[in-house]
Amino acid sequence: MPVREAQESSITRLRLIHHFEAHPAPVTGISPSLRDKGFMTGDAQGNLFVHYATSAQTLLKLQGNQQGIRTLTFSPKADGAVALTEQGSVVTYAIQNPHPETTLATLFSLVWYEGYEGPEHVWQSSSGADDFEAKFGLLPLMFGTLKGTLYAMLVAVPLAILGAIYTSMFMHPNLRAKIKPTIEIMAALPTVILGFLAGLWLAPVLERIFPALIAMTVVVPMSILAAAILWQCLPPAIIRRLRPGMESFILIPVIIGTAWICLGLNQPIESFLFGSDYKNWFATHWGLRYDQRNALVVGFAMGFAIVPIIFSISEEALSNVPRHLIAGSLALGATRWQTLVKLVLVSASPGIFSALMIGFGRAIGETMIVLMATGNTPIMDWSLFNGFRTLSANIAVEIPEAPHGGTLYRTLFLAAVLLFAFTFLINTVAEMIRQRLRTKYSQY
Amino acid sequence: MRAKFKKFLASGNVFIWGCAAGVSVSLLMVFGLLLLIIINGLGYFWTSDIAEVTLKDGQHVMGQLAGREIIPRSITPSRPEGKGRVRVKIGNRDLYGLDFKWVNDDQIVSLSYPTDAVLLERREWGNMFARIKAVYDGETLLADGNEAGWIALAPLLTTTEALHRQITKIERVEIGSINADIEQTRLKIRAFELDHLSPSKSSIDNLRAQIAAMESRYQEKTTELEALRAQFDQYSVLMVDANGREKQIPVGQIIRALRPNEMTLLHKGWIYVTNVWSVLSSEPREANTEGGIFPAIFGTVMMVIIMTIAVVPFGVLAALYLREYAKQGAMVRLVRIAVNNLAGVPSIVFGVFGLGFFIYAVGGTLDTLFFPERLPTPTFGTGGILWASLTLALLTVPVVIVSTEEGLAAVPREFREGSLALGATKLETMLKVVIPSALPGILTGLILAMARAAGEVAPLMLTGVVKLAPSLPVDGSWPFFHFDRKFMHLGFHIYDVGFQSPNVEAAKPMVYITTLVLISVVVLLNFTAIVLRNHLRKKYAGSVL
Repeated sequence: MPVREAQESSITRLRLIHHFEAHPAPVTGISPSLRDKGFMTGDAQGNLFVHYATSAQTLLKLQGNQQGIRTLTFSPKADGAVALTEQGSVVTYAIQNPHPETTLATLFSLVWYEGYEGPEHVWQSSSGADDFEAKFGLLPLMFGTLKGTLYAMLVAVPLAILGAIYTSMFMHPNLRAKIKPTIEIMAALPTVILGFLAGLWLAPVLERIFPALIAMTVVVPMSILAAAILWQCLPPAIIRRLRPGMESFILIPVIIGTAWICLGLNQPIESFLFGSDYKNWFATHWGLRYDQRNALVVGFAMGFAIVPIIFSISEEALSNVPRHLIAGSLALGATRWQTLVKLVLVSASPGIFSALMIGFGRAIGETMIVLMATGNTPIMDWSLFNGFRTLSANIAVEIPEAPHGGTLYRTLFLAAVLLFAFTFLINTVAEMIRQRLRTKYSQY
Repeated sequence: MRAKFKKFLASGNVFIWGCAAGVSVSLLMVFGLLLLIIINGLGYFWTSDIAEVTLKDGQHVMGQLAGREIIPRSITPSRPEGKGRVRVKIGNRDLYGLDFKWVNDDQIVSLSYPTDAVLLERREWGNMFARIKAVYDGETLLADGNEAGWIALAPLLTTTEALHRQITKIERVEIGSINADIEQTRLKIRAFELDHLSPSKSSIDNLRAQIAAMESRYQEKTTELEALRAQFDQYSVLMVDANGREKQIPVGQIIRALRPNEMTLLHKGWIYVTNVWSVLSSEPREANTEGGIFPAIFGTVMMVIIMTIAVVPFGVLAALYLREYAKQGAMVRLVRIAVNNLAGVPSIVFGVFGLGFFIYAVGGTLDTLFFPERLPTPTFGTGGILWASLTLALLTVPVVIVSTEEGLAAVPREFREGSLALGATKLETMLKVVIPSALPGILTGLILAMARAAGEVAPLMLTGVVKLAPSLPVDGSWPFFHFDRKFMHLGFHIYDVGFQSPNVEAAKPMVYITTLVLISVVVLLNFTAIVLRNHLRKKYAGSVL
C-alpha cells in the first residue's frame, strides 16, 4: 500500500516496497505520525488500523462500530488519535505504544529504510537531524564482534597452542616454573592498556611498516627453520649441552634479528611488492581502503589478550596427560614428535578445545581493546584494513547517553543479553568438557 | 648429508623448534610491551635541554628535541639514505597553537643549546620556551634583561606559590564548605515543604535566615579572594621567544622556571624526582593532559577498597560453604560450573547489570525513599563510586571463590581430624584451624581480585567514572565519605586522555605515565599473589602424613 521514493541515479521514482494488511472496507482516512514512521488508517466501517512503515507491521486493529470514518489524525507525540465519523461524532483514542519501531525482523534482518536504495543492515542510533529515524539493526554489530574475534583467534591460537605444547612437553620443569607465570602475567594486564597501545602506538606503526610485516610473516618462519637446521649441523657435543627448553631462548635473537632486517628493508620491500605505495596498490588492485585503526591492529592486540588464557588452559590439559603413557611411548621407540602427535595431542585435544572456546568467549566480550583500536564504524566487511564495531564497544559507547527505558536503552540491554547468552553457552560447554577430561585422567 | 637431513625432518625436530618459536614470540611480546611502557613513561620526567635551531630562512625554532625520522617517500635512487627531519617540541601553545614542529635537516643552518633559554612550566597553555626580557611589578619595571630578570624572578615565584596555595584553600575548603552548607539548608527547607505535616513557619524562616548569613559570609570570602587574586596577578614577566615575539605572563601563572641547559646532571636528577612526585600528587591541568593524576590514583584505590570490603564476605563464605559444608553432589557441581561461568562473562555485561540494577533499580528507589527533596537531581540514582565498586565486586567474586576453595583444599585433612578429635566443634575447627591455614589462599584470591578490579574499565564507564571529578569521594565535609560521588580512575584516565582529548599528541606522555602507574600496581599485586600461592603450596606439600 504505501510507496516510497527510491534513488536510481539522480532520478527518484516511486516504488512499491511494503505491503500492509488490507481493510475490510474502503480506506477513508489516513494520518501519519509526526514522531516516527507510524501511520494510522480508518475505513468506511469505522475500523482503525495502526501501522509502522519501516517494519511493515500492522500494530493495532480496532474494530469499528459501522460508523464510517471521515477523517482522523495522530496526536503530535503519537500517544493518541482523534477520529471524526460520518455521523459527526468525534472519537478519541489514547495509544500506548512506546517502541513501535522494533520487531525481531528490524533487529536481525534486512530492512529497507527511507532514503536507502535497498534493504540493508544498519546500526545508526542517533544523528544530528530532528527528522531522523533510529536504525537498530544488530547484525552489523554481531558481524563486527565475530570479525574481531576471528582475527584475534588467528593471531592467538597458533602462538598459544604451540607455546603450550612446547612448555608442557619439551621444557625443563625449572624453566617452566618461570615461563608459565610470565606468560600468565599477560592475562593480568588491564585491557585498557592494550587498547591504548594498539590505538595510539601500534596503529600508526603498523601503517608505516605494513610491507615489512608482510615480509615478516614469510621470512620469520623461514629463519626459524633455518636456525633449526643449522643447529642440527652443529657438532653433537654442543647439541647435547642444550638444556631442554633453551630452543626458545636461542630463537629470540633470531626472531629479533630477522624482524629488524625486515623493518630496515621496509621501503625496498614496499616498492618491490606494491610499486611505490601499498595503500594505492590495495586500492587499485583489490579495491580496499586502508584505515589506520583496523582489524589487523585489533587482531594483534586482542590476540595478545587471549594468548595467556588459551596458553594456560591448554598447557594444563597437556601436562595432565599421564606421564607413564608418555614414558611408555618413548620406550617403545617413538620419537618425541611422534609421541606428541599420536599420543599427547590426541588425549589432550578436548582440553585444548575447551581452551580455545574459553579464549573465544573472552575475545567476544572484550570491550576496551576494540573500543580504542577500531574506528567503531558499524560496517559489514571482512576486509583486514577497515574497522568494525562490536556489541560490547557499542554498549560502552552508547548506553551512557541512552535515556533510561527508551528503545535504544532496551536494544542495548538486548545486546548485553546476547553477549551473556553466547559466552554462557560457550563457557558451560567448555567447562563440561574440562570436567569430563579430569575424571577421565583420574582413572589412570 | 642428505640422509641426515631426511632423518632430521622425519624426527619432527623442526616442528619442535616451531613450538619453541611460539614461546619465544609470546615472551618477546610481554617484555617488549613492558619495555615500551617503561621507556615512554619514565622518559617524560626527564627535562631535556632546550635547543635553538637556526633555519635557512633566518627563522629560529626553540624547543626540546623529540625524536627524528626519515621523511616518508624521500628515499630516491640518487639519495638512498633519504632525507631526515627532527621533531621539536616548541611549546608556547598560546603563541603558536601547535605543540610540535617538524624541521627538515636540510633547512637547518645551526643548532645550539643556549644556556640562557628558560623553560616556564605554566598553569595554562603548557610549557613555554623563551628568554626573559623584563620583570614588572604592575607597571613599574623591576628588572630588565635576561640575567637580571632571571635573578628577580626566583623570589617572586616563591611568593606567588604561597599565594596560590592560599587562594586554593579559600576556594576549595572555605567557600566549598559554605556552598555545601547552603545546599544542605536549602534541601532542609525543601524537605519541610515536601513534608505535608505542616512545618512550623518559624523553622523555615530560621533556615532562610541561616542561608542569608551564609551568603554574606560567602560575599566576604569572595572579596578576600578578589584581593588575593589582584596580588597574584600583580607581578608579570615579559618573555621573548626565539623570533622576537613578546608575551607578557603573570608570574602567578608560572609554576616553575628552569634553565635546563645550565643544570648539572645531579640537578636534573633532582628535578626528575620532583617531577615524578608532582605527577603522583597533584591535580590534572589543561583537560587532563598535564599536571598530575592524584585524583585518579585516589579514586582507583578507594574503589578497590570498597570492592574488597564487599567481595570478601561474599566470596569467602561461599567458598567455605561449597568446600566445607555443602554435600558434594550434582547441585554443588552445578554451582561450581556457574561460578566458573561467571568468571567468563564479559565485563561490559556486568556494567550493564550494574546500570540497570544498582543505579536505576536500587539507586532510584533509595532516592525516592530517602532523598525526595533532591529530586529530580539523582543522588544514588546515578553512577557513583559505591555502585561501581559493587559492580566490580560481582565481577571478582569468582576469583575469590576459586582461590579460597583452592586454599581450603590445600589444608591437610589431618588438621581438621585432629582438631575434631580433640573435641572442638565444627565451627571452632573452622575458625581456629582451617581458616588460619587457608589464609594465604584467601589472600591470594583477594589480591588477584584487587588486581582485576584495578584494571577493569568497561563496567566503570557505565557505573560512575568521569573524566574530571570536581571533588574526591572523601573530604572534610559531613559525612566525610561520599559514596554517591562520581570518581576518577587510572584506567579510564588512559582511555579518556588518549582518545577523547582535543590534543592527543601533547597528551601522550600523560597517557604513558598513567599506564606505567596502573601497570606497576597490577603487576605488583599479581606478583604478590603468585609468591603467596607458591608459599602456600610449599607449606603443605610435605605435610601429608
